[in-house]
Amino acid sequence: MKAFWTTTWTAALVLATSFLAIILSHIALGVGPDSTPWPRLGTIVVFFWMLHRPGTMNVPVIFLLGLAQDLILGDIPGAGVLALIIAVIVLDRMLPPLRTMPLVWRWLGFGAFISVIFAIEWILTSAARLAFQPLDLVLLQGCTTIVVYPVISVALRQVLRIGRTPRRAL
Amino acid sequence: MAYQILGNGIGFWRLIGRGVGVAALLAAVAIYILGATSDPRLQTLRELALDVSAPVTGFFGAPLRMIRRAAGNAEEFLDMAAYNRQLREDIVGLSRWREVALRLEAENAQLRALNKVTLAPRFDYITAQVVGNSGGAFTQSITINAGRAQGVRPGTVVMDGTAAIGRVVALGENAARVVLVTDASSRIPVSLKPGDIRALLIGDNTARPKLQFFSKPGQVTKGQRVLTSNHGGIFPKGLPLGTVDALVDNVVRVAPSADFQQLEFVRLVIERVDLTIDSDAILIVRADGRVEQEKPDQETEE
Repeated sequence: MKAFWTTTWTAALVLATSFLAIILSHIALGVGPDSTPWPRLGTIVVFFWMLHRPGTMNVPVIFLLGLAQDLILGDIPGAGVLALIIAVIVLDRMLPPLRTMPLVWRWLGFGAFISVIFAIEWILTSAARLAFQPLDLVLLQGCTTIVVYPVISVALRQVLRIGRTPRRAL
Repeated sequence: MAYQILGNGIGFWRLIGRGVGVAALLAAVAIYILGATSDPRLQTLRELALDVSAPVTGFFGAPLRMIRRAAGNAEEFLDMAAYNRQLREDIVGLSRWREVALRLEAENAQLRALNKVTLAPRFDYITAQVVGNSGGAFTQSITINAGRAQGVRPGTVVMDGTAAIGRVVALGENAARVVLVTDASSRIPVSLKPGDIRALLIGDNTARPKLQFFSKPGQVTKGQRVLTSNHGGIFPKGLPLGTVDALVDNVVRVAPSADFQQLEFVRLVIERVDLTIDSDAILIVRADGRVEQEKPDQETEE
């Protein structure tokens, strides 16, 4: 019974934080091309859970979250989810060793992950629109996402501890 | 071989896992093809995402927007003296223009009343709040909290205070997605004044969209106003978009009039039906902009 509740709690935590991150990426604080692109918080959270809860963050869940991100952010539906799944397949072997490594190595791993995603998404978007998309905004958003990763990672580690703290004896 | 037909060996689950992975990849490819070709079958999913995400985004965005507004207010407060002086000067200038506008409006109404005139379609306006932003490198779009229930239709033109900023491309019950004029998929037929030069305003995800396909090439100069031209029938004629800003590497760039950074509320332009005026009618222009006609003969007959 305890295992059931643990699994349910983990699944709820993973889904809730992922959707919240996607929604937070969507908040209108600076609009238009002059504003700095927001970091892809959804992708950061997906990567974090792939490392720390790989059983829950599996391919169907990644597919659903990627699709939700595409639809909510208004990008070409399918471009983001396809890029995400290809990146997961390409970097599949990189993830298990990263789990036990220090934050700096996980940060570098995330850099590779997000670079593959943005590269594929740039190609797919350019192909869909039959024109090369400007690279400066893509690089800027990629950099802001990489910079933000440690902050989100540390925050999510704190979230992971919720429910794990042993109760103090009365 | 690790795989067993009815067994529970590790190979079986690995095979299932790979099958799911391949299925997800194929599904993503299919969705991408549908999305890239703007297939209407994705419409339901888009509407669902809009209706679900817009209220949640509005809720979580409220405190962040409040903080941003407070920071902006603090900045204005520090510069209040200069700001007040500027406002007073603007009020004096605008008062003069108001008198001119009222005189011209009355004169216009009288002239129209003398002829059998079919007025251009007039418009109603809905105000909506910007709750979401694509915030990405590939798309320049916003989400607003007005949708089908408020009378918004696909293609509805969206303005900030004075200038057109984009049009509605996806519609939910209480939310809509607006693609901005700077988006790479935006194409707007425009007219350059003075000179009445027709062209196409093409967004490319930069702050300065470009102009192409001029009806009179070589007559474009910096500072010309860029207005919508109604070719194609989506944008009404004469809405300001910006001014010709610069000619860089043989590409004419436009500086949009809208201040996207301050975009918090937008106006949606809803088209109304035509109004035909008879020669003997009196045209009444109400203070709120409504136009009505009255026939004196009918009143005397009664």
